[in-house]
Amino acid sequence: MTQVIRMALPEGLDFHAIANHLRAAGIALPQGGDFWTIERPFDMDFDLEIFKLAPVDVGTYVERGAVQLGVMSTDLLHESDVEVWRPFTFNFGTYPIIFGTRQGTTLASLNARPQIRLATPIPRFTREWFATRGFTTEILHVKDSAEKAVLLGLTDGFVDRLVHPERLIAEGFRAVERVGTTHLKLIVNNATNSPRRKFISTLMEALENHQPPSPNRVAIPFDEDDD
Amino acid sequence: MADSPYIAPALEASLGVRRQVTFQAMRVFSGWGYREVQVPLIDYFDSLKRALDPDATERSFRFVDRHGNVMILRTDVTPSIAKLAAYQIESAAARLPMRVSYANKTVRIDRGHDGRASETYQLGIELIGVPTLAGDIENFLVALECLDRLGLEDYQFNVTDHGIARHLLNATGAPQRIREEVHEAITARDPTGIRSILGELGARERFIEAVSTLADFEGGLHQLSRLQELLPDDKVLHQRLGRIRNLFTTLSALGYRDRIRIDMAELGGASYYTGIAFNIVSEVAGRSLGRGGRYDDLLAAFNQKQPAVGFSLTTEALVDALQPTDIDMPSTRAMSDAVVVGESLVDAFQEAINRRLENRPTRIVSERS
Repeated sequence: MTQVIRMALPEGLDFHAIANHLRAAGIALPQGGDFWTIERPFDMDFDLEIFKLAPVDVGTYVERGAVQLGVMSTDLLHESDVEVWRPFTFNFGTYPIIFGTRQGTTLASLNARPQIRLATPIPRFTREWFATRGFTTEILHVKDSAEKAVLLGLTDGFVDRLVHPERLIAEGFRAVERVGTTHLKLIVNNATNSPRRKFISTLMEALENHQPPSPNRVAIPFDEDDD
Repeated sequence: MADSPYIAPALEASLGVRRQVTFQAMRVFSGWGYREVQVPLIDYFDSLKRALDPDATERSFRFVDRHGNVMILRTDVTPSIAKLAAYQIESAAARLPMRVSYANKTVRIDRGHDGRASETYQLGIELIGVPTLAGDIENFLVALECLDRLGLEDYQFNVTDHGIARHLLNATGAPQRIREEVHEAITARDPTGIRSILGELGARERFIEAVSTLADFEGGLHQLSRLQELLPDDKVLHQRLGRIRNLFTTLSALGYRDRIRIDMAELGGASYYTGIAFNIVSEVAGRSLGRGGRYDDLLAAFNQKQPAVGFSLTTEALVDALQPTDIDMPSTRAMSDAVVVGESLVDAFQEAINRRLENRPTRIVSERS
């Protein structure tokens, strides 16, 4: 009897790259829509149901078994602290995480302040990183653009992924320091049993054998203001 | 009603199922000769912390009592039982082997952003003083009977040996911080991560390969053969592999082949496990139902070197995994149970008392309602 495996894909930034990689691996994912059923991929006794979800929610759905498979970035995995397996790393979706501020604000000027305020969508990671860096920080959790918080004067700086370095500079910001790197992972519910594991193994093998060319890594446009 | 961050209310339907689950499990434990104990919910942090790992300590609720002692709400029942058993053995109040069971509450701070507290009920057993494989097998059989009697159909024991993982990680020569990172990558089934961390460290290839074998996504008996091939001269490893194979063969011969899966990456849970251990998972519930295993060093934290095994089940997870029809719940709403209170309070309540003397279900209904 055919069973169902559910997979959650994150909306937004990397969705198209993931969908294309799945297509290359033999998952006939149609264009458009939010929900798809792929019948018996790899001729195995499973139908694959694929959903789009908010990136930050994917881990919760997978951890609690509502979907068995998902794709999530390591920064959000760390932030949501979900217990899931992450057996496959995509060769795209890798971004530096930077500590950024306005152009003209130097590390020395930040250091001279009694306290700096930072906006970030990943407060747990940010708190851990700054805990040992000699700054007194107040960390504000924002879900939308962290740069906007600096522009509007809410914070002195931000910690976020760097996706478009040219836009960072054009909008008047600068990268002070690299604080980490995020990767894109296939994640799996950790109560998954043998038959489903076999299917997921086959899927991972197909993904591995059809890796798209590695995109250029995002280079951080460091300036010389702190020298 | 104000929302409380620290209390998880359980209403009638859920509580009824939890009670049935607890009752049935305790009956199984008692049938195997385990005697129920209750350990304090609040304990001295100074005495218990020796048995807690950093994660358990970080996720614990602690406070200062009026005498200035730091107190802890227990996050896990096993360390409290280890403490109790150690004191009983020391005072010669207990004979070995000790078989104890429990149904106790635990409180810990949740993982995730909000850091709220969560209360869970753990049911389980501890067998203290049996170092042989027979103790491990008894531990499995009690858990298996318990789940079968509860009527659970969808569950599996993922079996590993913490001693093997620890032995291989030590053999890589990695410092403690790196070993923790690799340990996390193993439990996440992330062999790429393992190769990257150990490769950067310059560990020898066969150890990298052996540790990566632990993280194999599908798991299975082949993991044991592969480890033996990779490290043919490692006697400690071979002895441990022989023990887990023997366990697998015995449980298979007893008819549990379909319930057991070798899965060497199943290294989550408390850090006190030292040997064969398991995680019971259910796809229906999408989560772990409980964990268990051998913890031969835990009593030593209370100055008693005694081997021990045990397991605990989480009541809430069991309720999740059980369909409502699996448990035979008595109806509490039948109209025939009603005693209507009208003009004469005495008549109505006398009728209620008479029904209760006959053990009949009774519900008071006001005529006006």
